Amino acid sequence: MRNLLFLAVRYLRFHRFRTVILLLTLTSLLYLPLAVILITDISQQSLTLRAESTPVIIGSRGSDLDLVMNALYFQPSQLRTVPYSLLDELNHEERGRPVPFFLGDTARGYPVAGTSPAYFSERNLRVAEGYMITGLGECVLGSRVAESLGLKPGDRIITDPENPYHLAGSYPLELKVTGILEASAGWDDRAIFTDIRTAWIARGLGHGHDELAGEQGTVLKEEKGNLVGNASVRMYNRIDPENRNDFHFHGSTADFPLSGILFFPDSSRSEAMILSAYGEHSLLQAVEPDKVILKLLDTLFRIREILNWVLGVTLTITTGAVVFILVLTVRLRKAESLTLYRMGGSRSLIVRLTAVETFILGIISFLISLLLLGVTWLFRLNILDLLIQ
Amino acid sequence: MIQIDNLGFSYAEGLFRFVLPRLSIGRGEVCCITGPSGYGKTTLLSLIAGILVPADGVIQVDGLNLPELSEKERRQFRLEKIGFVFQDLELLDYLNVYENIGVGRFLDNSRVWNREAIQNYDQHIRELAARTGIERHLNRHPAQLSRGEKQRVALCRSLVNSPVLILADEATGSLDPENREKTRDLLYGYCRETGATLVEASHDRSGLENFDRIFDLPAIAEILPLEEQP
Repeated sequence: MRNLLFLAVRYLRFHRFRTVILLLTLTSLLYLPLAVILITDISQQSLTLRAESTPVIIGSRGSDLDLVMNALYFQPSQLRTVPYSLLDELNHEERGRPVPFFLGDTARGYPVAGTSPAYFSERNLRVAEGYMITGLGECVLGSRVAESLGLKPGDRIITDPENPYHLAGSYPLELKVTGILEASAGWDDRAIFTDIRTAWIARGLGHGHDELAGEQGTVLKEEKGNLVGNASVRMYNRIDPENRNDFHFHGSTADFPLSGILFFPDSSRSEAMILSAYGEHSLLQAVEPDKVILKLLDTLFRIREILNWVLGVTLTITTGAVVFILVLTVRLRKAESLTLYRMGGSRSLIVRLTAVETFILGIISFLISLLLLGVTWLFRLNILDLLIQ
Repeated sequence: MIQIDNLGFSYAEGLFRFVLPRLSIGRGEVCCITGPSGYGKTTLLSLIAGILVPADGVIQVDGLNLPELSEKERRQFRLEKIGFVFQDLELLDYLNVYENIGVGRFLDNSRVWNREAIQNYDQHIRELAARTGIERHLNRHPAQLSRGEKQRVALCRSLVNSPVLILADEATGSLDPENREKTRDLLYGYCRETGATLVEASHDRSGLENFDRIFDLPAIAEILPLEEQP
C-alpha cells in the first residue's frame, strides 16, 4: 500500500492541472449538497427561533411578511408607520408588554433601531462592555457592528446622510457609543440601538440649534408665535450634556412615527384578544411572526426541492465526468501499465493506482469541503442576510 | 541459462504461429537475435521473460520452466532475475530519474524493505548513475533529458536489481553511433563483471562483432499461417 501511495502522490503532483480540476470537481460534488442543506437548515432554525421569541407584532396594515422582516430582521419596509399614541393605548389596555421600534436610518451601513429598554430585557441582551443607553444621542452596538467597525464604548458613529444634495433634509447625527452588547448569534448583533427619541432626531423629526430669540439677525420671520430662523442658525449634529436641553420636537410626539410595536402578551388570552382586536382593524394589523415565517419557510422548502433536483442533475453529470476522466486515465496509462507489468508489476497495478489516487483526491476534497462548510457556518448570518434581502 | 525446445506460440487474435524448435544460450553469454521487423524478436523476448506463455513447448530460464509457473511466480521471476531494456525506453514521466531507476522497488511487495535494504538500494542506484554519467540528473524528470541520457536511465533501471538475464529489445536502435557504442559497452561491461547473460534483439546488423553469438531468427524459427500448422 505504501508503494501505491508513493506512486499515486508522485503522479498527482506531476499532473498538477489534472489534479486541481479533479479536486475542484470532487469538492463541488461534496460541498454543494451539504452547503445547501446547511444553509437551509440554518435559515429555518434561525428564522423560526427569532419568530417564536416574539409572539405578536403590531404595525400598519399591508404585507405581514414586510412587517415581520422589518421588525425582526431590520429589513427596510414599504409599510406606513403607526403613531406613537398606539403604544400608550396598548399600555393602557394592560394585556402585556408593548415594545416600540422605529427603523429609518443607518450608520455606516448598519440599521439604527430606536426602541425602549424593554427590548433588551425581552431579547435577553446584556451589555458586554460599557453601559446601556441613558439618554439622547447615545447608542449601544451589536457585537458584530462593533467588531467590524472597530468601535468601543466612548467612540462616536455618524448616521448615514439620506441624501447629501437635499439641503433642507435631515442632517447626519453623531451618536456616542455607550456600550457593546453581548454576542447573541442573531440579528441583534448587526444593529445599532438608540432610544426612540434619538431615532426620531436622526430622522429629522426633532432637532437642536442656536438660541434664536435675543440674537440679532438670526430670525427670518415670526409665524403664529413661532420664530423661523435663517440659514445662519447653527444646527447641532451632536447631542452632548451642554446642548441636550436644546433638542426639541415640534408638534405632539403622540403623532410621531413608529415602525411597529413588538407585543409580549401576559397570557394566551391576552394574545388572542390583541390578535382579534387588530385583526379587523382597517389601518393596523397584528401578526404572529412564527406563522408568517412558517409560510416563508414553505416557500423556502419548495425552492430547496427545486434546488435539490437541479443539484441532483448537476451532481449526476459531474459524477459521470469524474468517472469518465478516471476511465480515460486508466486507458491513457495502458502503455505505462504494460511497462510495469513487463517489469514484474501486477496487471491491475494501474487500476489500483488510479483507485488510490482517487481515494487521495477524495480525502483532500472531503477536508476542503469540511473547511468550506466551516467557513459557511462562520458566515451564516451574512448568507442569511443575503437570502432575506 | 536459456533452454527452449519445440516452442509454439500464437497471439489470441493472430493469424500466424511462431515456432522455434530449439534455442540454447549459456550463462554469461552475450547474444544477439537479429531478423527483419515483424519476425517475432519482441515475441521471443517476451516468451523468455515469461510475459507471454507458449501454447506448447518448453522454456527453461535459470532452471525454471516458465510455462509451469503461475502468473504471480512469473512476475516475481521477472522482478528478481530479469532486466528489461525496452525499445521505447518507457520511462515514467511523473517520476524523477532516481525514482525511475528504482521503480522496481515499488513493484516488489514480496521483499521486506527495511532501513538497511533501502540504504543499499539507494547506494546501488547512485553507483549505477555515476557509472553511466547521469548522477547530476537524479532529480530531473525524463522530459528534461536528452535521448542518450534517457537511454542510460533505462539501462540503470534494468540493472538495478542485479539481474542474471538482461533482455534488450532494440535498445540501441534509435541511438546515434556514439551513444549506441556507449550503451553496448555498458551492457557488455556489466555482463562480463557479473556473469549475467545478455540477449539483445536487433534488426540492425552493425556492430555485431562484439557479441559471443548471433542468432538469425529466420534461420532458426518459423512463422506459419495458423491453417498450416505442422
